[in-house]
Amino acid sequence: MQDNILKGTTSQVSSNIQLVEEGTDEIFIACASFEDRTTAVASKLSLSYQITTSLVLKYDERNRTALREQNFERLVNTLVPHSKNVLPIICDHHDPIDGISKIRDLSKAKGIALQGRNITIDITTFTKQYLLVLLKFIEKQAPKSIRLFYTEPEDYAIKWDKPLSYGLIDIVSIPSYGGHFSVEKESLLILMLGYEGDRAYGIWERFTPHKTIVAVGRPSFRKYWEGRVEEFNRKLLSKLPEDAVCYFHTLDPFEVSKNLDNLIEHHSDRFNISVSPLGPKPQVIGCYLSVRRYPDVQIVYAIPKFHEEEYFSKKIGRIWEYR
Amino acid sequence: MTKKGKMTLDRLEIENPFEKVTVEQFNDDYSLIAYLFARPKPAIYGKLIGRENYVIVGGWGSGKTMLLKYLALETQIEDVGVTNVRDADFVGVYLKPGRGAFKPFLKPGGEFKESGQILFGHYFNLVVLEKLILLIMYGRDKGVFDISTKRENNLCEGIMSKFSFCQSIPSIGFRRGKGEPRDLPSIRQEVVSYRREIETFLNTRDLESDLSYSAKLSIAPTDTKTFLDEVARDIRGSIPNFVGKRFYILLDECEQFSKGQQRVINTIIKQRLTTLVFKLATRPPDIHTPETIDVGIGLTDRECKHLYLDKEYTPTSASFKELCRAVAKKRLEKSGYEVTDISKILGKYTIEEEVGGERLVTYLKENYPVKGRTSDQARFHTVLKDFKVAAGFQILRKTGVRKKYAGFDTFAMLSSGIMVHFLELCRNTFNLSFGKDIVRNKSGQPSFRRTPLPVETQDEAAHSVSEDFYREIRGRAESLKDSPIDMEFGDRIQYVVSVIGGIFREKLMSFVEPEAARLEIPEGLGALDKSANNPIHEMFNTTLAISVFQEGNPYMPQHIGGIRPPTYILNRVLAPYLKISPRPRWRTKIKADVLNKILQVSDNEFKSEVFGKKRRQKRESKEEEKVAPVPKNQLALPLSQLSDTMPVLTYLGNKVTNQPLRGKTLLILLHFLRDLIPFIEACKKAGASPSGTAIFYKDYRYPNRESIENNLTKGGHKVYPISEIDNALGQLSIKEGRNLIIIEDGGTIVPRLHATFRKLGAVTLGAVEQTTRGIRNDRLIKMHAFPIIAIPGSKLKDTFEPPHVARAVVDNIQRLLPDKNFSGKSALVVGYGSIGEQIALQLRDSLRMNVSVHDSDDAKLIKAQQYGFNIQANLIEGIKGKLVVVGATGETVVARSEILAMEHNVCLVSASSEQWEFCIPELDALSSEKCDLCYGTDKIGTKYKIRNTGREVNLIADGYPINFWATESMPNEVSDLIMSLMFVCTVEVATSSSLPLGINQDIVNDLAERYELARIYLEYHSR
Repeated sequence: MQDNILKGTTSQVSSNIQLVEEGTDEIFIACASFEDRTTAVASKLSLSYQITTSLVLKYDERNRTALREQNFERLVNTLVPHSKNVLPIICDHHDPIDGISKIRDLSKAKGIALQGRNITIDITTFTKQYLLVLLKFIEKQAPKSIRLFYTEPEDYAIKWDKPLSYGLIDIVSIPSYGGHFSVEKESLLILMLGYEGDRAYGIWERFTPHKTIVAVGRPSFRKYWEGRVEEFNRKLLSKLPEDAVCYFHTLDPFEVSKNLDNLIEHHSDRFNISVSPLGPKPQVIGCYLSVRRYPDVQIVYAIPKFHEEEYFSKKIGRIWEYR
Repeated sequence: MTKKGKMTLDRLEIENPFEKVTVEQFNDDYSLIAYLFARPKPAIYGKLIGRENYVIVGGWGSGKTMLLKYLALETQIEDVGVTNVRDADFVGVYLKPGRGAFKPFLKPGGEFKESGQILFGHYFNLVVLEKLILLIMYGRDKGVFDISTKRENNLCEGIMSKFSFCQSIPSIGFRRGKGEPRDLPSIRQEVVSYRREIETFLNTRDLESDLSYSAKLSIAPTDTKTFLDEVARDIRGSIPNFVGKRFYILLDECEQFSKGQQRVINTIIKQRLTTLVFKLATRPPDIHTPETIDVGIGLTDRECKHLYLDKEYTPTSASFKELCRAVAKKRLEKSGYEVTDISKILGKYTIEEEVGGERLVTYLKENYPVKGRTSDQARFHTVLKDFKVAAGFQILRKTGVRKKYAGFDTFAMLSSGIMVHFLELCRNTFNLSFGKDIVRNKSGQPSFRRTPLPVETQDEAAHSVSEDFYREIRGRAESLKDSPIDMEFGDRIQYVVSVIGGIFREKLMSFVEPEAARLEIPEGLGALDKSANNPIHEMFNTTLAISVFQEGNPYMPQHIGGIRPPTYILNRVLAPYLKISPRPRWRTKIKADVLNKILQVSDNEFKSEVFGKKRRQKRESKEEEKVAPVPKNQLALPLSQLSDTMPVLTYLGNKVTNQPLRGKTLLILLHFLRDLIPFIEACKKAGASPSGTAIFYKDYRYPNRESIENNLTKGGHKVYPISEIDNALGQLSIKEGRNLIIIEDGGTIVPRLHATFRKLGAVTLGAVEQTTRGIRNDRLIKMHAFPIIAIPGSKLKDTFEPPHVARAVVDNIQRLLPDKNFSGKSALVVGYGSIGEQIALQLRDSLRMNVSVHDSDDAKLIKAQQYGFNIQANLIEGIKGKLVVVGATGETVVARSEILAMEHNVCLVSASSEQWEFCIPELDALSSEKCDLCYGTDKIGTKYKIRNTGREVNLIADGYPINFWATESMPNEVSDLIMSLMFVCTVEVATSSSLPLGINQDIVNDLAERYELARIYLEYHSR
């Protein structure tokens, strides 16, 4: 396992995005979704950002709106001036193995080597499942470096009194993150909370862990978002003791990873640990960084039936780069 | 409360003995589990400790985990001691398997691949084997088992020889330790390493294409079906005092296993191994994963029996009450309480005490069709026994008094046979009693100031547990895997519960079989709709799994024979929340197709189906009323039915107890719209007398002012136009003590009570103000003589109302100017507050206008810009070239200079109170002439001709808020929420002694939350 996969740098993108190394080809990977943020990073690529291959994932599912299709086309069109080949990958929304298999097969078929290459990924609109499995897959290919971009939205659906998602299909351990189970240990569930209170509550009810720790994101993306997470998770929080609550950074995955490492080290002797990242994507990256150091930890995920597409998020906020 | 469950008193904390309600909260504290465990009735206990395989089926909270954990060796040692455990004929091995990495090993569609089944078989065996080894080590350390070094070596050799799947295929890839394992810890390490090998394989398999590992395991000679039996025999052979013992494999939460995994476990159980007994705990079957099956499916009764916990305990049975007493006693003793008999602590609270014995008897005699029974004392006694509870409910509902739930018997009944509920009821009661009725006595022991604890405390606890359970339905339903429908599953479940609760609530008011809270579906659950867009069947099954419904015995009255389907009883803990009786005495029979419909359609249609002709006729006559043409200037809906359009307000009016407005004088200045009538009605229910209520109306062109005024006057209220307000206030008599309450819109009365009518101000309890303009007026008062609750700025009003106000404004612009084409034309919104923002959005989105925004606050301008509006920092410049100018500031900002900059034929529209927005004196002064602006024969405003410019300015609605100009502004369904908010604020003014003088805003959010307005509103209006 490489230790130099992400070195620990977080920065806000203020100017156009350049190649990781000037003059060196790299691979750009993104995912099309129904959100306005789909094309934010691609639109920020500088004119000198010229590469051979881009991979664009699109989930194949019955959409309630045509937004995903429209954004997919927009994303492809935006990448075309920067990338000689823009390769679409249509994959199953709920099965990341399907997506990864297709990336693997396509790479083989097209002779695209990931090993020793710089890889840039726009993580913004991947599902958390996909993101985690993709990162593990990419890392296994031994690239030279991985660079990640994340775009904040201006606001989420809850601003318009809509939930972010509806229903639950299943609660699963993410493929390749099943962890290891010890019969003599109790279970600890670490929930990184987001705006989907019922989803968090459902996971907690399902697991009936011996101990629960909830991580609330701080600081919020916007000042006036403070308190939202607590509000949406009030039902769950009312069931837990006060010392079950801790605070994780919302935008710095390396800070998140440090905090998570501490929790894991403190509890791993006594507990089988399961983590469920329900907060923003940078926290998912933090989760990934920790679990690759502590492979006994399981990552679980509640698959929603479908997302609130039209209002899930609106407009584009700041863009962050992680290296 | 300082910490959860404890109350600091004299610096010594009193523990709530009922704080931990689920066994998971004990954190494997075996001694605590052993201590607190109360043995269930022999019928259950006998099955648990017997030698037969059992599947223990029970909904949430039914006690499955507690039962299994009790049997575990660790708990048994703590409970009965080492000697007795040594002599016992079983060793309990408790396992709650983690979700593990097996899920990805399924084919698309969820079927377990054959290689996966074999892999899981090995994995499962290794998990159980590891636990067995740990248990033997634990037992040895505790002195239960004797095992010499030689025997231990033999045992290890025996176990290793079973791992033929690795020995015969050395290249399998297992990591092996150095040398052969010689003792239990090292053999355990081997087992762990093999198991981790499989987990690691699973965790990496999907990222690589190599499946050789599982292929190797699939051809290994080890028989996964009998592996555990062989190991168990080795153990028995090695441990002398193990002769005759069996291992009880206690598997918890078996519903978590997928279909393929369950099949593997079933296969092992089917072997009917002599050394192993399986006790499997699961939630009710057929409801979880898309592919899963009941744990016991495929097993015959000889192979594995079923124990249905939900059916074992009926809440009124002596055995359940005994269990509750026993459980509570242990907990109270452990926490050192002086009194440990929970039935004494909770006491007894009967319906006779609550309603009055004589009153009950009188009511029964008057209302119940006893036909001659009343003359027969013995027969009437039967009637009293059968119907007194229902009669009590009816009396209380009719008098608007909330039913109280208190007493040990009541709590036991509400628990529905689920111990967790009983513990929660006790927990909440104790939490509410700390510091008041539970204190430390002189010797420092927690004791009770009085027993039984007050009825009000217990009732509050019962309601809070009930409401919590209802609220949690959604999350519980979502936590189950199977969610095949296209919207929020949990919401639908809640809807099912509330509709069926509503049915039972209605039936409770009848005089024939009123407590009919036992649902019978004659065709059975299978006949319920299973379609994707109406999955009643799945929803119903889920309610069983989450213990919202419990399957009861078939309804078998003596006069009906034959086979009857089971009945379904709502979890009795929901009774307080749903306002139904917790006693499901009779049944409500609803056919499957009717249930399919009612859970899809509105309540009214269902009721006409179920309650038959009378109701249908009543409905038809209502419809006939509606069809008749409505005379002009009369309300479309009769005033008597207006309350039906505002059910939240009506509900609150009924809910409020103790008539808080009795004896108070109300001065009300609100819009004379249809929503005023239900508000006045609600105030009346809260005790306000018509003769003590003075209502003022503004000079707006309310469409129904006359009818409303007539109605109020006939009802005994005093009604005045606003022009007579000073006279009316001057004539108001001043009673001793504070008793005046002001409810107003626009800050008219409150400033007067601080200026001209100070004596009235001195006897004012408080005021409720509706508008931002009104609050501004109130803020100008230097020293407030009473509290003023300010509704503007509250979360509910600010999020809910603005879009509707804006819609009313924009709709009325179109209505009053129907021939105008607004598309592509320019508009200016002055004031980008919550309403201005919505107006701007609607002008843009609905009328397709080019919208500019002006506000004196730069931050608001930035916000408007973010939303894509043109911003105008300078109002005069902004007004130029606009067809429509909408004022939404609540102040006069459009004056001389702005008027002179306006475009010819501009339309000025006000969205705020009175005639504030546009300076009408300036318009008058600048105009050479003015005339009525009409559409047909209807006046819609005033047209001004600006002298020396030739331009005309149209003041729509004469500068009054356009949404009230000859229209009702918002539908009653919308104002239901805001009027409800005003009502609860009014009640707060009347009852609170702690409101500070001056303007109070935060209290509004608290009240909205306290009364759960949003939730109730959604419940009534979301379908």
